Amino acid sequence: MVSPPGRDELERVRRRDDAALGRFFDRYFPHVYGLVRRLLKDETRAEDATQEVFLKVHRAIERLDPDRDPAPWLTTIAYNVCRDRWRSAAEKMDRQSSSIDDQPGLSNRLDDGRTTPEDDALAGERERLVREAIDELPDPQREVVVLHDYEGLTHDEIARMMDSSHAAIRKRYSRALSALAEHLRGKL
Amino acid sequence: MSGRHDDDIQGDEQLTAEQLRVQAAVRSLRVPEADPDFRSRLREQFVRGDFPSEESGLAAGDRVVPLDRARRLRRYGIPLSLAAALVLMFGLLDQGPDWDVVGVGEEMQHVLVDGELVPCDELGLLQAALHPGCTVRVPEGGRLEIVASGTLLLELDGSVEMDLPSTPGRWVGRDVESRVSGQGTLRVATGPRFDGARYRLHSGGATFDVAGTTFAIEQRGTETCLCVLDGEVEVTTPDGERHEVGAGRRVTFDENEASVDTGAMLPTEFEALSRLRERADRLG
Repeated sequence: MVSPPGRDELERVRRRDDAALGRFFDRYFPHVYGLVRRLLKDETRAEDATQEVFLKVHRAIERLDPDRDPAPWLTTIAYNVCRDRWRSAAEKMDRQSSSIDDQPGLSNRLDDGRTTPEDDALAGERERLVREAIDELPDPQREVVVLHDYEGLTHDEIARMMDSSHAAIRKRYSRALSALAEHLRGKL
Repeated sequence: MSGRHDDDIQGDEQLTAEQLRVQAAVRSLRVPEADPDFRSRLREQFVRGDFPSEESGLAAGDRVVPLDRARRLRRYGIPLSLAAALVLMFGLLDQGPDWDVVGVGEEMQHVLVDGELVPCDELGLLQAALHPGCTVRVPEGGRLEIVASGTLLLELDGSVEMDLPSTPGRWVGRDVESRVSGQGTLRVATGPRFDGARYRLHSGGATFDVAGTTFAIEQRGTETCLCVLDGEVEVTTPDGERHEVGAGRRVTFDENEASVDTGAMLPTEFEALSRLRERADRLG
């Protein structure tokens, strides 16, 4: 996680200073996009959701507390945007329809001009398998894995975000790891 | 990893070797990178406050989010006081119905509202005490029935505590939410004016999403039982799994155990919910 900007800089962001907004975006975009991309699996949906996150951030920027690290606030907004998309009817139909995105790994192998630099440059077989396995998890399990192991949130923080209990989140995380292990057994 | 809690570290020590290997593999994944054109466009939108709006039909590039109030007033020429009055009027017209008390258990002498004892023999007092956001607690053996006309009928049976939700607005604010706890049963019937709204309940470590139905949530110790008479309730159980429970069905789960039991709804709840449904239909 990047270190937060200083108080004076956050005050400039609150005042919607163009240069400060640009620096704020540059600092936090990788974090937001990375989280959303991991949660939503699909690049197109991730772009839409990331845009929505930054729209919400822009509208609420005057409420930014210059004395606090904005990262948890951004994480919460990003998570809520993703959660709302999972639960929308359109999202459900999108996931149920047969599409290239339903075939793990296939969309990443096709050269459609939208493959990520990550896939093009890195695409280690091991990494691809792990990503596919994460994408195969049920949404609630993928949430905790992404938030705990990618975002670095504690079980308590995740529990608060999801209105759940520490014990339930720990159990869900353990089950998620077991599901990943079963999916990856013999492949890594 | 920063911010690790002692319980998290202890939790990791309880993971199997295979789980730890998977955990390490997940943590070693590289950060997904966005398409550079997308990132560049979004940066421009964010700095200028220039996001496309689907609702207004405006295309990308049109200014739809003013950067400050002064510029907004000059652009649209709406006096701030008039704009505030329009928003207030809209808010009043949009409000859902109030909560009315329609049934009180014969033996029940009082109800706790926000920690204060409210006598049940003066329904006017009880009516006045209930408001969206208050915490209502029915004593053991008691029963309270409240209705938001045409929208929601709630029956609190036994030692149930719940945050009374706001009622769905007419046009906006159609999604409402509340928490339920205690050792009793909450029964819910939605009315015709609930159509299109969603009611989310949190109870027993689970989340229940309701969109037009009659159902009951019973909590005994750490065990929760959901019975659905009609419609469908989507429940996310503490283990993170999502279940869609349809008419005549039941799901039972324990907050601390992984197992979830499904089956036909309890006969006792079939009778209780059928009576509730009839009352909801009469109340309209």
